[in-house]
This record gives sequence, structure tokens and C-alpha cells, in this order.
Amino acid sequence: MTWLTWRQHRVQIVGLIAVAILVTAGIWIVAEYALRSRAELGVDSCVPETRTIVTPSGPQQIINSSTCSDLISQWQERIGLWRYLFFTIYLIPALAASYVGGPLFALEFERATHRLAWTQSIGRLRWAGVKLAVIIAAALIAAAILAVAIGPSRVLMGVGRSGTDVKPFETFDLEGPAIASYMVFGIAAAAFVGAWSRRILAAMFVGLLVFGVARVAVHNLRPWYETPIIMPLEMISVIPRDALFVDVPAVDRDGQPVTRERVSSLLSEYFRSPSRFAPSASSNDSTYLADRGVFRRIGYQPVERFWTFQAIEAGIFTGLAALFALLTLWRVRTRDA
Amino acid sequence: MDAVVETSALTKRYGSVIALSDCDLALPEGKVTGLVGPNGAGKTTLIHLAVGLLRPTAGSVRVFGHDSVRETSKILPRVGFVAQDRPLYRDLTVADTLELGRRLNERWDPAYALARVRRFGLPLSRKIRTLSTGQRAHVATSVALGKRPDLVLLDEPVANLDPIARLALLEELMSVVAEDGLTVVFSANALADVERVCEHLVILVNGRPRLVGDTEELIESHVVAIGPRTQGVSALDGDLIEARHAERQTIRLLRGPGPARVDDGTIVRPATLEEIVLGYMRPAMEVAA
Amino acid sequence: MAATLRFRLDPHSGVPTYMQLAQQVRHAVEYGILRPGDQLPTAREVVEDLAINPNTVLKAYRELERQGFVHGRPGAGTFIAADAPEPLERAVHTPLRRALDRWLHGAKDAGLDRDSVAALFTVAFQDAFSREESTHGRRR
Repeated sequence: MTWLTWRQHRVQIVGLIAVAILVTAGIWIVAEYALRSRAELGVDSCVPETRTIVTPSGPQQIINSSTCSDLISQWQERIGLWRYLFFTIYLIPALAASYVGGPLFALEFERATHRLAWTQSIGRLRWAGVKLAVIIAAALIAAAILAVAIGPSRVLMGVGRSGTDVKPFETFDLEGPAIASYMVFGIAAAAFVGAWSRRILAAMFVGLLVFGVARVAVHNLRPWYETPIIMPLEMISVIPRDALFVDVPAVDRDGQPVTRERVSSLLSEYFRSPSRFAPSASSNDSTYLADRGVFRRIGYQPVERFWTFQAIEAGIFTGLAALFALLTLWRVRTRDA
Repeated sequence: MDAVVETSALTKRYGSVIALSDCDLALPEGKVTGLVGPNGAGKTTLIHLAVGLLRPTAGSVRVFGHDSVRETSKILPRVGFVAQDRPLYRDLTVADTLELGRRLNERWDPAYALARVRRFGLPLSRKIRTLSTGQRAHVATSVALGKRPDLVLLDEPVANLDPIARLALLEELMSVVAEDGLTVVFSANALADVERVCEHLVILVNGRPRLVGDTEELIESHVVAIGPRTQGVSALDGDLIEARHAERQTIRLLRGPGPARVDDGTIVRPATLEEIVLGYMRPAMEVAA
Repeated sequence: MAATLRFRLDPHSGVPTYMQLAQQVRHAVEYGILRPGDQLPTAREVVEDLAINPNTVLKAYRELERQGFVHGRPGAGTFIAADAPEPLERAVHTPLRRALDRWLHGAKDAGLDRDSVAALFTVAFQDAFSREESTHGRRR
């Protein structure tokens, strides 16, 4: 059965792994080029030009930082749109779901070849199990290859904002465990839709949809994997820069949440009030809100929790994948052919 | 006579559509059985139930004495099955398709399967999708026969084949029957094929067996009487199966010894299998309609 | 080696296939095409030629054996029996055929078409053989 799965799907398996290799290699090459040209242009050794001009009050030094920012623009221009190459990593699990997972069973049902397979001597469960296992193994290989691109992906993401590095949480979705779990989940989900609907096109589209919805839903859940550390908004400057910020509601004096609408209406009230320029007035918007019993807060997840979060995210998607795989096996075992 | 396939009170419903209803059948061992009936009579359903592709809504199918749902794994190694339209993997070569048979069956005779494919001069390296319908039929049959099955179940095996390919396929099947004496069950729309090879006949109409018997017995026990139109049939011995009236004339299909003595100019002659099959199918379908 | 005899089938005759085969062997003997000791085609050969069920061939041969036309030697094949009926004498055959030809021409001249001739013949045939059939069963 392993042989048959390989023989049937080798184009998709090889294609998936080849795409992973191409994308990873591409990201590596572009990131390498970005770092090299940054050094060539001397972006990081740029010293802002200073000029001394004579003014009536005496000589004065003027710092002209535009030469350095020109260098950065030059650098960004050299890389051009290639810096978006890392985006393809987000797409690969979706494409794998649609093109590899979708047809996995749907193609068999649509062409009735399941009737050939199911009437040989191996059972339906083994047939479906091996098919899924082989494809998922291939997906894991592809994911492992993509995981190598995480470092250079950060470089490329940094190009957009003139640096060479970004915070870990910004590339959370590109990290190995996450990518691998997305890949496995997408394939299992689309495979199930195919086993259910028996239609390739339905499986490819609905599979993609299920994948997208799950990704967005879990993404919104991510900041809450652990209880965020919460502090007053005014203390935002003490939060480490590499943390994941979490939007938490403001509270009143009793610690009860205050609606967003109330906060924004108070704020606009404050900004419209002419009295805010009076010397005696509250010094800023926060004190204005505090005087009215509203305290804004900010939450964050420290970077130390990064790998725990990776484990939780990968766990969620792996669990969903297992669920869909079981549903697929159940469907194959019990369905009329 | 032992039954290879035995159904008892077998019923299969798809939603509100009844495909087979309360079907009691025993298909004899070592014979070639033809499953005949109009489209939608339940032929495919019956065959799929036997190989475990479908589950009965009620009743059961036993193949070699094993239950088709709970003991599918005891049945399938001994059954060669070709589904309607002979599904094969289009991107596999002929050689790969045989390899599929070898890998998916513990009981497989590679030399035998290869010999079957070679008989028709099918190039092993050709992909299935490049083959003609007739060639695909041979590959599909070779895979079914490669198991060295005790029972071969074929759903419309000669449909869509040109006359030459059709005869070639039947000839292939019958040579295997000559060699190995296996049991063959196939469904067919073309009566000529049934007449040519079937020793046993099951006519299914509206999900029920309408007529079951050995082909030759059926032919020998039926006559067609063509005579002037009369009200009664008292002058003719036997059970009236079907009477078709023209203005002056009546054509009757009768089961029984035939005419004692007919003086009114009625001609009595042996019925052909086609006349028998149509004679049983038509009235039953009209009742249902 | 080519088979001694090639069978042909008339699917529309209403005559069971095994009977058609047996009849053809009998005719071949009656017309002297097959002689005692000649081997009949094996079931396999007939199957490959006509794509019919091999059991049908065996059934035809058993029928012939019962009638004494042939005898089977296990493992070797089926052969025309030494005591099979002699070929029909030309003396008997030829005048009968001529009489039938004359009758057919007469029917044609009288304006009967193909089907009418067949119908007339069938009725006459039934009358002539109905006595025999009532003792032997409807057909042989």
C-alpha cells in the first residue's frame, strides 16, 4: 500500500518537497544578498554627516541624517520585492492542503478507483491509514525543510523596516513546530472534506477554507495561551520590546472592565475640551481618564514563553489534524461505496 | 448444489429509494450466472453488497458462507471483482497495475496475471490512460483474475466494448472457466452475451428476482404461441407469462409443456432467451409503473 | 493442429446452445464430414472460437455420448464412435432435397413470401412430429 500511495502521489509528494526546497533556498539566497549589500553599502557604519555653519550666534553643528537614510532606501531598493519572498511560507501549508490533501481521497471517489482498491485483499482502514500517513510524512519533510528558512526570513522581514532583525513573536508562524502542524492539519482537513464530499473541487476549496478559518481563529486565540502579564498602559515603556503585546480592556476603580466605547468617548471628550491646554488641567489623557475612574491597561507575553506557545499552537493543530484523520478513517470504514 | 453467494431477506435502501427489496437468492457454485434486468433493477447494488462495498439495510449476504460485512477480509482474497466502467489508476502503467495487484493481495499469481495481459499483447510500459476501452477491460480483468479467485464478480464487463473486444473478453473469461472451473457472476444488458455464456440466469426487476433458473431449462420450458386474438388461453397448456395483443393476433409467452393440440392456426415455437427475459421483465415493470 | 470442426451459433433460433453443437456434430457425421475415430474440438478450442461457456460444450458432448455418436477418452479427448451411424445415403438424401426444392418453388410461385412459407412449414412440421413429441417429451 505504501508503494501504491507513493506511485499514485509521487508527483505531489516530490512537488511539495521541491517547492519547500526552492522557497527555502530562495529565502536563503535573498537574505544572504540583503546582508551582503547592506555591508557593501555600509548602512551600519554610516556616520551622519555634520556641517558647521556660522550663525549670528556663533558656529553651529548641523547633523544631516539624510545620507544614512538614503543608504537604507538604496539598500531596500536593491532587494526590491524579493523581500516578500518569506510570505510564500505562509502559503505553502494552504497549497499543500488544497492540492495534496484535497484530491487524496476525492480523486479516488470521483474516478471510482476506490472500488478497485477496496476489493483487493487489504482492508479499507489500512488503505486510508497508509495513504494519510505517507502524505503526512512527506508534509513533515517539507515542513522540516521550510523550518530552516526561519533565520533568513527574519532578515527579509526586517528589510521592510530598515533593520536586519525582528522580534521572535513576529515570525511565530514561520517557526518549525508551527509550520509543521499547519501543514499536517491542512492536509488532514482537506483530505477529510474530500472523503466526505467525494468531489475534488469541493475538497480543494472547502479544504482551503477550513484551513484558513482555523488559522485565523487560532491566531486570535494565541495571545491568551497563558494569562498575560497586565500593567497600566502608562508603564508600557518598561515592557521588554521582544514581548507579545496583548490588548486587554480598561477597568474602573472596582476592577470591572470598561467598554471600549466608553474609553474612546472619554478620550474624544478630553481631546475636544479646550481646558486641556490650561496649566491647571490634568497633565495628560491618562490622568483625565483616571479622574473619571477609568484605568487603561496593557498586557504582554514575555519572550520566555515563546517555545511554550509554539508547543501549544502545534499541539492545537496537531490535535485538530488527528481529529480530522480519525473522522476520515471512520468515514472510509463506514461509508457505502 | 452449493451456493457461493447466498442472500437472505436482503434489502438495500438509498434514502427513500429501494434498490433491493427482500431478496432471497442462491447463486450456484461452478457456474456462470448472468444477472439481467433493466437499469436500476438492483444488479450493481447486489454485486456491491456481495463484495462488501455496500452494507445491507436489512438481511444479509453470505459469500463462501462468510458474512459480507463482518467477514469481508475472508471473502475478498478469494473474489475477483471488476466494477462498472472498470476503474483503474490512469497514471499507472500496465506493469504497475499488476504490481498493485501483487502488493494488495496475499493471494496473487504474478506469472498468471502477466500471462493474461500478454495474451492480448498489451504493452507493459503503457500508461492506463493511453489504452483503449477494450484494452482497459483486459487489464481490469487480469487484475481480478490474478488473485486466482474462486469467484469472479463482474459488473457490466462488456458494456461499451466493440463486438470484437466483447467476444475476446468473454472468450478470455470462458477459457479461465474451462481451466479452473471457477464461479462467475456478471451483470449484463446485452442478452446475446448472457445467452452465449450463462448457464444460470437471474432476472431482477425493481429490486426483486423475477425469474431464476438454469438457462437451458428456461429455454426448454417456455414457448411462444402466436395465434388469433382470443379471450381465453384455455387451449394452451402452461402458465401465461405475458400476452401481447395486436388487433387480430395475440403473442403469448407460456411456461409449461406447450400446446396439447391447437387447431385454430396458432403457431407454437420454442421461445428464445430474449423473448423469455423480455416476457418476464415487461409485465413486472408495467405493474411497478 | 486445426480443429476438425468449426461450430457456429444461431443465437436467434431458440435452440439451446448445447443442442446446436450436438446437432452440428450429428450433421457432420451424417454428411460424412466426420468419420469414426475423428477427434472433436476440445472444450478449450471451442471456447476460444465461440466465446461460449465450456460447460456447454461438455454438455453437448455428453449428450452425443449418450446417443452413441461419440465416446470420450479421459485425458485424450472426444472421438467419433466406431459405431456411429453411417453417413446418409445419397440415394435417400438427394431425392428428398429435390422434392423440398420443388415444394419451395411451388410456394413461391403461389405468391407466398418468406415468412408465410416458414409459418406454413412450422405448422406442418408440428403436425408431423407432434405424435413423436407426445411420447418423448416436447423435444429430444
